[in-house]
Amino acid sequence: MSLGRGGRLKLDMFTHPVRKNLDHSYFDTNWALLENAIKEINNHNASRLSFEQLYRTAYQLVVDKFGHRLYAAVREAEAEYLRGVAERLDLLPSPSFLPGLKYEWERHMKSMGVIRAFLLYMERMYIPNQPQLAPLNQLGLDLWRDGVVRAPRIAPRARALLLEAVARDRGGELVDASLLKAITSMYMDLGPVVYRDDFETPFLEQTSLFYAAEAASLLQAADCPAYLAAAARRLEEERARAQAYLCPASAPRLLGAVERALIGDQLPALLDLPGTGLVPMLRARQYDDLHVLYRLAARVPGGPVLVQEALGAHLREAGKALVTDPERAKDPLAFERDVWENLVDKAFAGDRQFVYTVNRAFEAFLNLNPRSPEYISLYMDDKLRRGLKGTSEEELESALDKAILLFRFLQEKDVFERYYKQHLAKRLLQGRISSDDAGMAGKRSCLTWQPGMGTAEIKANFGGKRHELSCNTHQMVVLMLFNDSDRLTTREILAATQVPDAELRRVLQSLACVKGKNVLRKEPMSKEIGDADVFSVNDSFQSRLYKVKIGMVVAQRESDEGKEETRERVEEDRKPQIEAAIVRIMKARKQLSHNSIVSEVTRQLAVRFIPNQQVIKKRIESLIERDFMERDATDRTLYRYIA
Amino acid sequence: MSQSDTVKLISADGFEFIISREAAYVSNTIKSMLDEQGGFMESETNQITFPGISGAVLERLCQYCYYKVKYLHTPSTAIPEFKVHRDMALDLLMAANYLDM
Repeated sequence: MSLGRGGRLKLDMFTHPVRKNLDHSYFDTNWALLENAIKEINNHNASRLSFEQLYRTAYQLVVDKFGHRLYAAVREAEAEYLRGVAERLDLLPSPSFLPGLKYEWERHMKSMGVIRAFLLYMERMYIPNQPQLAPLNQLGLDLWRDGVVRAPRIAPRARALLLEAVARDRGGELVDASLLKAITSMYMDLGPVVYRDDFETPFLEQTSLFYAAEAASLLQAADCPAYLAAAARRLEEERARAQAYLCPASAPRLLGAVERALIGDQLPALLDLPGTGLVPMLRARQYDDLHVLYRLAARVPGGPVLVQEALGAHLREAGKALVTDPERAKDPLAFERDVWENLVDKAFAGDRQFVYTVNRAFEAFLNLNPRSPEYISLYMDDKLRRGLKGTSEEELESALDKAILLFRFLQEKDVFERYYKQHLAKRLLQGRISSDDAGMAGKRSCLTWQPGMGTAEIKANFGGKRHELSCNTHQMVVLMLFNDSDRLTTREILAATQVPDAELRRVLQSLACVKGKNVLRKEPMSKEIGDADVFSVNDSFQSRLYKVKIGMVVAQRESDEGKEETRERVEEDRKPQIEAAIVRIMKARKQLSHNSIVSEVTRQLAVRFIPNQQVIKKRIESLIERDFMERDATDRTLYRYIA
Repeated sequence: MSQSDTVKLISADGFEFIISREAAYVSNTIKSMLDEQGGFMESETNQITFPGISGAVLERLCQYCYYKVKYLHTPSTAIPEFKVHRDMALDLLMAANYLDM
């Protein structure tokens, strides 16, 4: 029996005292009753009123087509009441103003609920057919907004007092959060536009100003970790503040304003703070402080990139200082690759962008020194020669691992490979192989004749005393010459043995200049080997041992000559690789411009080395000569593949 | 005064009907009248006088209230018809509209 369409019925059965005289006083008389009730309700004094009577009166007015006058009268009565409210609020002293506003707001909302209840027939049957009229609860909000919240003497005061309370809260004073929550909720109830324009926008402006000032004063202390800790604390406070008395949608905007003022605007200055900024924190390995920096920087646009750039610049500079230092450049452990990996893990949460930054920096500085591949191989060679003497297997392995970590950052991996093979071959020939070599020698074997690397045992007579000398092949060859001659000059020995000059000088040093092993006598007696120096068998050689092991004066690192030779060999090795790459590319693409070939070849070979542009050009020319490809007849920069 | 389980409805001609609060709340108007939040006379006395509704109509309305409560959760096919006498139909319709039920 849901009867929702009764408006059209003539309701004669409801007898009302005044109902029968529809003269001009009919509305006024009935409205007087309702107006009085509205006043009583606004004064919280409804208990003497009969709901049934009020409801019936409003019902009758709507049924008798006075709906529009009733609505207008209700609106005016409530507006009149709110004018009084605004006047009362205006008279309140500042400390009571916000509590007063809260009190009046709550009263108004409650009264509107009650008034709406006895006007429900109008709400149900009349208002829905009048699109220009707001429902009664919305009417109550609109009247409050226009008559109170935006009243000229109320609006600026409410805002100022609210912002002042927030400022006191930020200053550490105790404030009534429930009061602030009630006021901001009031703005929210009045709609998102009112909340934004009347509260949020000025609130965010104040927030930005407050934190810009705080940032400036914090920066004066010039203590980056302290600043970061304070900023993190402030952000946490603001998060709690947003939860305590703001619209949930405001939280990201509030935190955004704080992050911008405290971090975004200050990050470059913070990173550069002398003595406490990024570089000092990196040097002192302040992982926890760096982690706070990382977390905070991640919250502002462009923040992580700024940190990465500063980190990369520092690492490139520190690395450059190492690789250009002649001594430290030889020690791969000085680059502290493991330390940096650990740092990225701990301070930057293993963030891939930071891993990338560190790797790029390593690549940049390591390849500044063209001898880096040689040094890394030498370091490993040294470790492997010593084997387990004085170190545990774990220590040896970790030292090798640290050196190998650097291998991947070398652009000229083929140079490293070449050196590593040479060093490995020497270790094998000298019997200095260690267990680790087995694993590392997995690459294709490439043996070269090493005439100086063999060993020999020679029985010799020194003025009647017999000794057995253990030496290498070059030393043996030199000693054998003295079976036929008593005295020989350096030049004569060189001519007779054909041992390379530098090598021979070291052989002669090892035979004549090492105390206790000086089986030859040299004139004049000096450490250096001169071309005209004269050698003879040392008849007065003495040793307690029957077997004497003749060592070799080791070249600490490659002589310049050897270095150039290695370089040349590497360049020779590269030629077929570059040609193969060019042919592979041309076969797939048929025709290509010069620049495209160069960039494609470089890309394909970058995993092993960075080919020189001139070399690529020469290889292309050589391939054209051999009819693998040809130049385009009209466009000289274009090449075609010849199948 | 606390909310009692029953309310008293009084017709224009003085008939009194005491029905359960649950049944009375079938009418949204009665429900609002008795709402404690409003603080009106009716909510304190738990009694409402209807000067515009006769005893005969009010009785039938009360019966409808109980009927509605009883069959609230019954499938519509299984609900018996609520019969309305022709002579009373118009009055009943108007009163129901007034009471929003």
